[in-house]
Amino acid sequence: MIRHLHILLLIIGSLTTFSAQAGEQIVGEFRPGMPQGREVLAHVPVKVLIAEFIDPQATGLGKSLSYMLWREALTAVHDQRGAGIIYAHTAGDTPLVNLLRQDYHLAAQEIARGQKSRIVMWGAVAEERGQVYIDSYLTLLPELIGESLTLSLENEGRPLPGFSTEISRSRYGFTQVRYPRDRLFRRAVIIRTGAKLRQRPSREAPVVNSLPANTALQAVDMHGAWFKVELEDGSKGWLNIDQLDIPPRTTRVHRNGINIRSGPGNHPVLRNANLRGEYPVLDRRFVPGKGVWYQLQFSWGKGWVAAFLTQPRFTLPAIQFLAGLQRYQLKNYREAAAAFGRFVAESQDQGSNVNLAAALALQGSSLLMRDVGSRKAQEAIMRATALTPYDPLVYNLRMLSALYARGASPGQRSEQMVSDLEQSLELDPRNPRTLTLLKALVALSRMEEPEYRALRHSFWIKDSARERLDALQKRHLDERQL
Amino acid sequence: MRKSTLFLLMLFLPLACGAREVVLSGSATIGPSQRPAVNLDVTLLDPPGLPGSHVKTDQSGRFEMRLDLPEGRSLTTTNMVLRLEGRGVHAMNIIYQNCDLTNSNRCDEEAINLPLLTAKEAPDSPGLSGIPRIPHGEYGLILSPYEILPPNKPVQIDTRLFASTMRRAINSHLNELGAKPDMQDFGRLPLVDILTIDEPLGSVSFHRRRIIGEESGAIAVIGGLGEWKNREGQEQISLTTDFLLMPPAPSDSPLMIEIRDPGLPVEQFASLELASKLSPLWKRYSLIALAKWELNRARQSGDQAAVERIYAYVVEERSRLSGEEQARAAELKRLLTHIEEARQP
Repeated sequence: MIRHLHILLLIIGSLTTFSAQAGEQIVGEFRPGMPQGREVLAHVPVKVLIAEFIDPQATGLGKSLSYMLWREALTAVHDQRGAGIIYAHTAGDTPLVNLLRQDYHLAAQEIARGQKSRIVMWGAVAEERGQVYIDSYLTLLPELIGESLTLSLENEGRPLPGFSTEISRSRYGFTQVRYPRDRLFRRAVIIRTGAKLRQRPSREAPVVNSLPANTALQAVDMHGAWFKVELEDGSKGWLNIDQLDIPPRTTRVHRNGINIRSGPGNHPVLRNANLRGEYPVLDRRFVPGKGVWYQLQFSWGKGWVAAFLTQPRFTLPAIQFLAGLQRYQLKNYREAAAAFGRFVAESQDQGSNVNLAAALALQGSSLLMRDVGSRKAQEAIMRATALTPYDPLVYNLRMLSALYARGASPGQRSEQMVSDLEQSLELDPRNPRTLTLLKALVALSRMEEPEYRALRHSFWIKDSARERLDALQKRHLDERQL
Repeated sequence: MRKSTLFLLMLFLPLACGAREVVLSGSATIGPSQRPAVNLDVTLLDPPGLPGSHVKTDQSGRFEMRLDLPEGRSLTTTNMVLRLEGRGVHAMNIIYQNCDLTNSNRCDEEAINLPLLTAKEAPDSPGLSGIPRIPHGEYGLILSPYEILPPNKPVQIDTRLFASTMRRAINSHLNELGAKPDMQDFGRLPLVDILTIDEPLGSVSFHRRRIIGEESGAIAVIGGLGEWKNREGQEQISLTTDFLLMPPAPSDSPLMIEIRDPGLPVEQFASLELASKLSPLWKRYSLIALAKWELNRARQSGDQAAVERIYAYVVEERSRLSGEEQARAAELKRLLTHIEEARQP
């Protein structure tokens, strides 16, 4: 029997003073081929869908964790116009997909496709001996992503024909994350517009207390969409996630001379300190004209710090990666680079070389899109190349980054570009993107297009590089045509 | 006497401004009698792609490889990999690290001895009962129970749970490889099953494992030993796994790979963390085994799309290697060369 699809509208963007993002939930039971109902957040250009994580042991962790990840993802892009996060789940205790009959991953993709969400986050959670294990994945839908995750070079605002490359895969699998069960949901939550504290995790449960807006509380556990919170007097109760803001769990700070204030914004300075470390976030406020502020727990007490000075951390590093992808597609390259940088910093010790390389490549691309000669971009791409030296993609990126490289002579640039193409074609001689880059470089070396002629003072090809380029053309282009 | 010693005679011509020729020669023998290995395939895997890097041994077991080095291409031997294989012998990859080609034109000559692979070797376990048969058209690995040493330790690895964990990890890996946009037209590689048997294979002969692989139709036969230790109060098992890659063509030789997973806490064998703690070679060699069988099937059926698909998967697998995995990269390069041959019209 096909159930009706229920859609709960929860437009968070309109209810907060600073959020530019939008979030919605869709609730239903997925079956292949079944209409999903109307598209939500249709006005939002770059949407991500988080599918309820599967929970093979049926502990209820799948739903709770997924709710939390959805809200964290919203926090991660709270200031990004055009970004939307949808959470797809089923009502009650019913799992999203009957695993005996359907492929969960395919189901998540189909739901995302139906909602025109470019990216879907999905995964699995399980508990064992007091530890919770979380496997998370991102799938990018190529037909919706289109060319939004490519690096394209320009000259004076005009695209350089052929000088572009894709910068992303279609799927990422992240390193398994482990949390002690009693810590997984232990974090600050903030009441948005006033809330009723209930005795049990249910809208029908008796009200224990009414709490005003902007109350920061410590959550200790979660059940379904309900957080169990602890008040200062030690009493406990339940709050629905719809009523709450979810700030980052912690934030890293590595700066000197930071003013720690008694309140957000222009409040008096408690102390000026050099901060090195990761601090629990207790509260979060937006101050018009001053941006977002975090209240942090220090060894000596609490204080407020401007959020832009810190690097927020969430339950999964994948949230940073996701935020970076969204921001890149919305052309917010500065923040995209920052997000990928945070992912690299969080994943350094346990991340796979593949994901680290991917994040560095994306970070480098973000920096190049802001500044084609960026040295930091080149450094990031070089690190990616060192991590995955057999990946043609990183050589394509490095080739593009060399065109405007600062500190290199025009001849050196051409040598580097030809070398990178040689490497890339050695690894995959039939990659269409690489062949396009080869054609473009051949055309540039001959200044065949008007757009290329604009570069004639900053690019020329050395004789040795030209001979190698000619050999590449003969081998990979001319002979293929024959 | 060492079972295998390596003699290579390398004549290295002085580096010139243009293209140059490097000559590599050596000799190979077979089995305990060390008779000459005739008509073996000798291939230089790393550095890959050099013209002239494949030859055969002659009637006296000798080979001579003339390598054409393009201009500007240097040659070092810190990680040179030579592969020898042929009918009736155990294929071997030789990683040669001792020859200094930058400062001399000659290396010491050593002989390569390959173990026999022949039906005359006596099987040490009677009968083939209990060997599951993998359905035609599907792909599977056979996993046997690990033998734990010392034998008196009451520690066991649940083979079915282990198989379930690795099945999930391997197929998830395959799905990830197949997720690139330009692979969408080819479809996915078929999934790989893992079937368990009751017979431990950690200490049985190579021949016995091969028989199990042939009877079951598996693409690989996996078995091994686990060594129990107590380190500062924590019980650990170090696994040594023999991953026998079965050839799709019966006339070809299987390839034996050893995978080591040291110091795994005992409780992890019943844990969701297990797959993430095991060596990535489990997934890599599963892909290699699958790719070889799929390539064989695609060639026989003229399925060019399947050939392109395998090519894309192997390129993607190689793209994920770190800089330290040069020998693995060379191995995948060789596989790609075979696939490239099949891609030619």
